[in-house]
Amino acid sequence: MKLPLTLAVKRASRLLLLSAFWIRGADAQDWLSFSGYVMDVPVYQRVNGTLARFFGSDRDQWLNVARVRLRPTASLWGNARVALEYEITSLYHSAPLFFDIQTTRNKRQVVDLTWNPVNQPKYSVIHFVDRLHLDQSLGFADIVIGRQRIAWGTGRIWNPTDLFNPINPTSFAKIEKDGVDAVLTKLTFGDFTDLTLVYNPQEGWNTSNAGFRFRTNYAQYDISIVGGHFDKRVVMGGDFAGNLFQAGLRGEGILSADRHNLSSSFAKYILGIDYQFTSKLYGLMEYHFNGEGAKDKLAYDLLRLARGETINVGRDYLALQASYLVHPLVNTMLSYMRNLDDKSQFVGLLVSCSVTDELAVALGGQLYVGDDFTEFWYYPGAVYVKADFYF
Amino acid sequence: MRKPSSAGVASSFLFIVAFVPAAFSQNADAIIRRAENLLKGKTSKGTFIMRVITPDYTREMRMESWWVENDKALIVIRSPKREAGNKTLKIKNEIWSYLRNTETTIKIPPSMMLQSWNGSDFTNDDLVRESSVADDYTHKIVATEVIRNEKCWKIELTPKPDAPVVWGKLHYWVRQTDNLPARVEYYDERGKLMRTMVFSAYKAMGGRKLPSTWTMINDADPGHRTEFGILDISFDIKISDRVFSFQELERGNRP
Repeated sequence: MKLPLTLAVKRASRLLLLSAFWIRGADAQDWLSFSGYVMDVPVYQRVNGTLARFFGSDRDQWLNVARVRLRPTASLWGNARVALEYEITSLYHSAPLFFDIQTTRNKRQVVDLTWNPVNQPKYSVIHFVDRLHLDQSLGFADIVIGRQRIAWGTGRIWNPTDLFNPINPTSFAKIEKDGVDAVLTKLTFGDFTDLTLVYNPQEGWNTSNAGFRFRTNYAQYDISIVGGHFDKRVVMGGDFAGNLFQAGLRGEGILSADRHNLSSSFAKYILGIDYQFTSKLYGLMEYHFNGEGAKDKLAYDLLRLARGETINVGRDYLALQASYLVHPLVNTMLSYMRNLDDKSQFVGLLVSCSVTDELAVALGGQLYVGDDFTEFWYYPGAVYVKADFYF
Repeated sequence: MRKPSSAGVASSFLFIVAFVPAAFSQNADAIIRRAENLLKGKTSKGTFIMRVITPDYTREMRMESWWVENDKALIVIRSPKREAGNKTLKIKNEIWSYLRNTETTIKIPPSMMLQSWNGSDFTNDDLVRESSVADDYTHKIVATEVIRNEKCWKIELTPKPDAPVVWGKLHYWVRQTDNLPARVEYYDERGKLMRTMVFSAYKAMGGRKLPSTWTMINDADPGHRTEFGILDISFDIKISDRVFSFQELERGNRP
């Protein structure tokens, strides 16, 4: 009998976890490590009037996102281990939302490991497996199989070379990128030179994604070349991180082409610089060219944005960020982002305080400014508190 | 007895002027190198507790580190849970940070060397530059003083021209009985005392005697200090070069 791929992978995942516990059950103290965190984010947001009227929703909305993330890791034989990150998220919202705040299955996940036991109009609970991977180190190579984070790119705000799990820079309820179902092999050719090969299966062979990243360090610059076949398109690009005098300089970019429709080719790139002005004041600037986006606000692909398939719909962006350490335990961060084409803007302020070694509390605000139907006009302004406790 | 000739006196004086300070200076240089070597060895691996102490709060962090001379280091934070798994990799004058919670690697630019390292009274620059105490300064014994009942050489360290250092001068006390450091004072270019490192709790660890507590007192910010307690340490052991690589930096768990 032929098993569907998703079912086969689900069964393999269960078997992997059971094997890990059965094989190493005797010396549990040494082989099992466990960590995690609890986060709660109450939010007040104000939706723009036109959208609220169109959707028949309240302008003033109250939300609460609560997350529990459990991160057990088990060492297995030799240099092998299995790592799991499992999360339960609850979401209360006083009115219908236009953008998803909860994690939903992304297009790089072939197996649906998200469950939704509570789904009320204003309250829902989901739980999902965000990481579940088996790592085997062979010395000259590391092999990672399963749902994992693949961290490509050097940009601080945007990562065009992150072809797997980009995160929206305006998101405040999440801190980690979504897991990707993949087989990853990292071949090491030296302390700072490696080649990563990734295969991300999809339901059909033709729709599966595969790519590589070659990385090295030359003249105090970290340099990478990336390429592959993603979303039925050929992608080539690269990134770098180094110094320009005393400042940090980073860049990354890709060219994406459809062999059957070359006119749909596009480029994406970023160029960023950061500088520590004093021991307390840090600044960052990043420019992003998004060739996949549109200059004309009426041509924005809002459906893809709402579905989380893209993180920006415009063409040119500038982001500025400054952080100031008010006290060793209190940091403030001011963020500014501008769509250079439609002139819409985002301003964010975050004051975070480390209350204890494990507990942090932050107060944040986000303000979006723009003419009707410009990109940031769609986003609701928000004030939120974020408390997280690690264990 | 033959009286020395004026030419003889002159030549003796010239000898003293020309060679004695050089010999004294070389001696100071050797003392500093010996003290640094006793502290660090050619390679070391250890577990430490770092306590950041201020009038308002105390923070504690446990970490493991691997060092090869002053060129390579990997530091892995084991607790608190919020920071556990974060790593710092240093190769000569380059530093990378790996943040476990976001699974990202960041290359630290030179300007960020001024930034506090993990909230302590140490900066990223200390990780990179502290190693150059022996090479980037000229050394001169300026006094003999007693610190906590131990007779010490007081050595003044002055930056060599064009040396990439941030301090105007250092005063470095080395115990005469065992050649171990007792205290270091860091002065800025205007001669203002900025911070003081005090070594204490000398005991046998890793096959040698060394101070097991290092306290960096922030003189510019009274009441603030960072204590390093050595829990265990091994010196001059074989450490694979692979420990100091991207592969280990980004590996999920322990190296």
